Order: sequence, then structure tokens, then C-alpha cells
Amino acid sequence: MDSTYGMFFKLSQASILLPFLIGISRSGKQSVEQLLLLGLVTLSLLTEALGFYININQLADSNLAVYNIYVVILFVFLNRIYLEILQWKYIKLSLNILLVSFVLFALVNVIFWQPIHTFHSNTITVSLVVSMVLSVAYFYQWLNKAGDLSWKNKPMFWFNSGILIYSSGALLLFVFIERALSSSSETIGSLWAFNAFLNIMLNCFYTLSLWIRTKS
Amino acid sequence: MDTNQELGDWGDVMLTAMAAMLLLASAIVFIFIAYQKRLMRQQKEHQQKENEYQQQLLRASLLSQEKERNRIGKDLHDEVGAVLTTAKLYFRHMNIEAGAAKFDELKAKTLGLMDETMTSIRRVSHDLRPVVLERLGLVEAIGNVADQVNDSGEIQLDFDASFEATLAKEDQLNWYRIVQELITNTLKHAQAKNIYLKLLEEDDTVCLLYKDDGIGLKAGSEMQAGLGMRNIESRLKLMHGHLEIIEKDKKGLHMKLTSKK
Repeated sequence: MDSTYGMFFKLSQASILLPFLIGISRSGKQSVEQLLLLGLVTLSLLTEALGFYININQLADSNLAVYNIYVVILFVFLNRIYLEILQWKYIKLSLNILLVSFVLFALVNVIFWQPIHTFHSNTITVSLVVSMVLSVAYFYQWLNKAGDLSWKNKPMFWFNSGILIYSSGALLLFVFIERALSSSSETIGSLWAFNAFLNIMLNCFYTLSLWIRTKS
Repeated sequence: MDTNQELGDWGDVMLTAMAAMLLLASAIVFIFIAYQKRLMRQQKEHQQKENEYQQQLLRASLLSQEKERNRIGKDLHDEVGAVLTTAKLYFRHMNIEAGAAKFDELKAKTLGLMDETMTSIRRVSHDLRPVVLERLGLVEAIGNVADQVNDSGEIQLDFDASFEATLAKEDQLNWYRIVQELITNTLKHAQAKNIYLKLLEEDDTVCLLYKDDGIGLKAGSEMQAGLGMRNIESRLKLMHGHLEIIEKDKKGLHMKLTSKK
């Protein structure tokens, strides 16, 4: 059972290679938002690699600090991608305020509530809620935009769908993470396996988004 | 044991709730896709209808042209052609040796035929491009049509104009033909006794109000779908105009036709 979960987690971690390779192979044919997404994917790959390296070589008690910093940088990338694709009035100001607020919140969180070597469920939860709201806002914007009906060849449709599906599915896990961590190993295994499944789905959506050529 | 059971149950609830959230988010994406697909289908249908309508207008326009050519051809053949053939015959018999009286008789007959030919040609050319429209403008030309209709005694046409703008020649002819078409339709299909026609300008818009007391469009649906109406729509479309049928179901026909100046 454990080895099955172990394989599944490794597959989830390795799945980031797929969008990375596709993104690299499509270089020069991507829009700004696709380049930002490629940056996000590269960051995820480096984080996974570094986390794995620290874990294997026992360089620290845990590799959580790497993932905690990753959450903040990931949010910066997400914020900049939505800045490119949302076109409402005052969206630039709103997203900039949101970004600064989030970074400040992450700092306050690390200083007062969750130290750097603990699991930062607060920042992850806030990040997921904001991602859900932004992805729904993107769909709302699209529905209100006359004329543009084709969705299959729009990279940001796939990216946005992936973000909405992953954030919604994983949100409850991070909201109740304390409770989950005190559960039986089988429960924890199932919950993390579900998260790994969502992560694979997200990487598939990233792949689709980076696959589409926006420039000839 | 109880605690383990409780933790197991909590894990199941969590997994179910996470799966439910996942399904909900997926449903949002699928609903979005379904909605977009529906919109695309509707747009395609709309485009198809628009294309069909354009084709109908084009067909109507071509049919109308063909009809007009046939009419002109027939007029030239029946009237001008026949008269010229007779004149040629007279010329052939016009011989000075036959006597001066006979010569003068044939000469007078030939001149009469020439006059007749000129009248016919004038009428044909007048139909092609009304002289009154060229010389006096749209209001006078429609007034002239109204006089001709009233002179027939079959129907009473009241024409009123509050129009001083100068339109492009092409637009003048379009409006003139539209009025002719409307009157012809009423005469042919509406069984009306009175026609009320008003030409006016509203800001930068030319407006023609047309009303008759006939059987109306619903009863005369043949007219509604007919070549005449298509021609009117086609000409209005050329001028980026619009046709509005007012009080369609009541007795008679009441229309408002507009176009930019």
C-alpha cells in the first residue's frame, strides 16, 4: 500500500517535467502569459528537485522551508499571469495590492504563527482561495466578452481550468491540515494521494496550456 | 479503537468533501465549455440564416434585373421594332414615280411612325431613369407618380413631403423605386382604396411613411414574401436602411422606412 502511494507521489513530483519539456520545446512561439507560466513551471521543477535533494542527502531536518518560500514565489507568478489576462478597470492596482498584502501576510505568518521549518498551511490556504477567485473571475470575464467563443486554442483557458480544479480540490486538505496530520497513517496517505492526483491533473493542464502555439 | 474509528471516518468525510469540491470545479469548467459550444452553434446558425437572407436578396435583385431586361427587350421588340419595320415598308413603297399624292401620303404615315417610335423610346428611357427625377428631384418625382396614380381613378394617393435635403443620385433612384414598388404592391395585392405617403427628414435620417387601407400583410402574405418586398429590402440594405412594419395585424399596411442621408 505504502509503496503504491510512494510511486504515486513520485509520479506526481515527476509530472512537472512534462509541462517543462513542452514549454521549452515551444520556446519562441509563446505569449507573455505562457512565458510566465513556463517560469512558474520551472520554479516548481526546481523546488521539487531541491526538496528531493535535501531529503535524499539529509541536509536539513525537513525540506519544508523550500516549499514555504516556493508558495510565495508561486503566488507572485500566478498574480502576474492574472494581471496579463484580466482586463478590468483597476485590476492592475487590485492585483498589486493583493500581491503586497499576500507577501506581508506570509511574513507575519512566518514570524508569529508558523515558523519557517513548519508546514505553512495558512499561506497555502489563502493562496488557493485567491487562485479560485481569480480563476472564476477569468471565466466571468470571458462570458461577458462578446465575440470570442473559441476556447480550445486558448492557452489561458486550460491554465485557468487547471488552477480552478486544483485549488477547489486541494483547499479543504490545507484548511484542515492540522487535523489531517493527526489522523492515521492510512488517512494521511489517502489525502496526500488525492493531492498528488490533483497535482498530476494540474500539470496536465499546464502542459495543454504550454502546448498551444500562440505565435507562428 | 473508537478514536481510530473516528479518525477513519473523518478521513472518509474529508476525501468525500475534497472529491465533491473537485467535481464542483470540474462542473463549472464543463458548464463553461457547454455554454461556449451553445453560443458557437447559435452564432453559426445566425450566420447561416444571414447568408441565406443575403442570397435571397441577391436572387431577388438578379431576378428583378432580368425581369427589367425582358420588359425593355419586349418593349423595344413589340413597339419600336414593329413600327420601324412598318416604316421600312413605307420607305420601300415611297417612289416618286407613283405620284405626288401617294408619296405625300406615305411620307406623312412614315413621319407619324417616327413620332410614335420617338415616344416609345422616350417611354422606355423614362422607365430606365425617370427624367423628372433627374430634373426636379425626388419629391417632385414621387409627386408625379402620385398624380399618375390619382389620374387612373382606381385609388386615391395622398402624398405629403417635408423634405429639403439633397440625396445622392443613387439614393434618390432607390427611394423612387421603393415608392413605385410599394404602390405597385398595393395596387396588385392589397385591394386598397387609399394610400397615404409621407416623405420627411428626421435629423440625419430619411424617413418614408407608407400606409394603405387594404387587406394588410398578413392576408397578403404572398406580397410579404414576394419579389417586390425583397427588392425594397435589397434597396434599403444598399442604403444601410431599415424597414419597420407598424400595425401589421390591423387592417391595411403601415410601414416606416428609414435610411441615413
